Amino acid sequence: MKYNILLISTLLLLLGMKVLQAQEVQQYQEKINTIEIAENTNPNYYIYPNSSSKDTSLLLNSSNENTKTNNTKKKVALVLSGGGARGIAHIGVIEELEKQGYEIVSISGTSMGSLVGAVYALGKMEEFKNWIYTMDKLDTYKYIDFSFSSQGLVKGNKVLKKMKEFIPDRNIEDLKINYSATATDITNKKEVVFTKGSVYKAVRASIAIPTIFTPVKVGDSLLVDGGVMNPVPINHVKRTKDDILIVVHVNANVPVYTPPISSEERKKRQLKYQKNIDTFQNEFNSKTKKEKLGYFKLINNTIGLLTYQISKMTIEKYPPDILINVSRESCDIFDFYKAEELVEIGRHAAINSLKEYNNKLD
Amino acid sequence: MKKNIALVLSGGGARGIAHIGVIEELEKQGFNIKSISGTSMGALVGGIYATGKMQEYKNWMYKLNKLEVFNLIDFNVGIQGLIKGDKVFNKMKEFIPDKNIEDLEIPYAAVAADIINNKEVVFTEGSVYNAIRASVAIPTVFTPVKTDEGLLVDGGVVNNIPVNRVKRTPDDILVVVNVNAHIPVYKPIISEKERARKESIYQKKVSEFKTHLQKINPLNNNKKIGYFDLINKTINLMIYHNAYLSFKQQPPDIMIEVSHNSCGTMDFYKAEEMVEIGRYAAIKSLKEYNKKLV
Repeated sequence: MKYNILLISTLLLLLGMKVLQAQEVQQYQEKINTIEIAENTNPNYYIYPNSSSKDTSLLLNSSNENTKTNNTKKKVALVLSGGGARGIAHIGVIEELEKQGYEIVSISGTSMGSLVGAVYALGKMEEFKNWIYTMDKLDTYKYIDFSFSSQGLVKGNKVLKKMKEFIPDRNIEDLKINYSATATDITNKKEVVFTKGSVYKAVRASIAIPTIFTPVKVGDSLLVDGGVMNPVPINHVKRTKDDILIVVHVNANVPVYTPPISSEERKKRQLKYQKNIDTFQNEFNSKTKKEKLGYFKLINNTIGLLTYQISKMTIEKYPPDILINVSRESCDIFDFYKAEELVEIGRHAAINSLKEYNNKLD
Repeated sequence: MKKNIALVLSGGGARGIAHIGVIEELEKQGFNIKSISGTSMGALVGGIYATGKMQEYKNWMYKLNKLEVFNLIDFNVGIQGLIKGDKVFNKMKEFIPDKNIEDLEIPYAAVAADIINNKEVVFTEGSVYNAIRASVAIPTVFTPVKTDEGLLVDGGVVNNIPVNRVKRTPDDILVVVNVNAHIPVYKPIISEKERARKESIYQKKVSEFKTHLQKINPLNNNKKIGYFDLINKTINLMIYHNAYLSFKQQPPDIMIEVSHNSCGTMDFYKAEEMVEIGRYAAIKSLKEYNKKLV
């Protein structure tokens, strides 16, 4: 008799658990089906291509006030590619360029490239770098949520909000250098290039990577990551007479460079990161999470391969004076905890490319 | 006059049904298709043509409008929305038996993408169905195909218009069919009543389908968008843009184009219309080609 009660209550318990599990899965599925879209009014961009659009790279504007500079400095038109966390390498590149006496007079960026380009144009790259370095010690998940849920994607906005606290917004037309950010209008299948208005609004659209940040609605258009159509926006950088065109490509098919950072430090960071990953993985039952992560990886790999091919063709079509390559194996899209390493990787790549360039000049 | 053709069939989801109309028109005008290369739906139509069963396939597709399309879709339990594809292909094998590519009447190549090793994979031997199944594995629709070395998905990710994979013979004509073209839609005239009838049958199926997939309303009605809709759109746009950028080299002898906007990637119910659109596009391009010869 006791045995029967035990058996029945066990079965009921298991049934109850199954129901709960099903409910949880149901809720989860409901969440991931819908994501909030950020709204952007008064956009300031031009659409590319259209019947009258010209590649700004073909426009020379030597009478532009902004480009009057010290004659001894070499003027640079800088193109910063998208690439998730790898885009932090742009910081190292810019630091090296300035160290070697180059003057960056115009920037065009996509995604993370538009973000780094923006903080540089706002004169706050140092602050931004230090903030990213401290993020190693914070719980990265506060800002970038892996959980696929609608909340997770929306949380991405927290990053920009936090940044505005110490890097105030400005209008692009008021910046000291020419700046543009490229996004993709996925509804009309066109590129959109922001050249006026709020810098943050431009970056927010450009960086709307479909699995990380929510898209931005502008009228009937839905704007996403510029990398979908133009990850290396060479044709949108403003050129000036006698400038040097430099492209930084952080998805390159080149061997990884591992900078000498103390292995103890790296191990510490890796452990913390691994702990965060495990916490996330424990949120769902093992089957669901393994397959969801598998699906996520599938999509990411697919998009990564497509992005790489577009990048390659763009660079072939518009060959720069100096091409600075950072390996796509340097880190994964979310590896923001590797910030210090990535800055060094960028610096190292810039040093090498500039050496080659100077050798050619001699 | 040259009559031998090397035929290249692009990917494009349901738009690939237009390839059937193109092939029918080419044969009608006395051309001989001597070799084929295809990606995704292009690989499917091309492969089926090479086994000599294109008529059977077309008739089956037409009948599908009246059947419960649903029964053929076997969802992968766990990964939401991804179809295993076994049901569809097993059904097809009943009236289109599998064959080895090397035993086909003409040289045939199907293109897939290995997204672990980041490279193109070209099938030129072995089971035709295996080749097709890998080539059509659109990342948001079909489950990918596991191999020893990697993971295969829709060839459109690396080479949506596989001009460089078709076998050439001396004096042949290179014909490329692109069903993702950047041109306006050219629709043949179909009676309004017929269209309205098909439309309403479709609407009912679509709402059943969408309920099952738990997809929601299109974005222009709403401030929300389905997560999978977004991924879908992104990958489609990138495949389309990639092909557009890379297809800049020497134009083929005959270029047959079907508009990217002719129908949605999953609009298989529009089979009859797409065949006619393909036929119409072929007639147009062949007319131009013949003019040039004179």
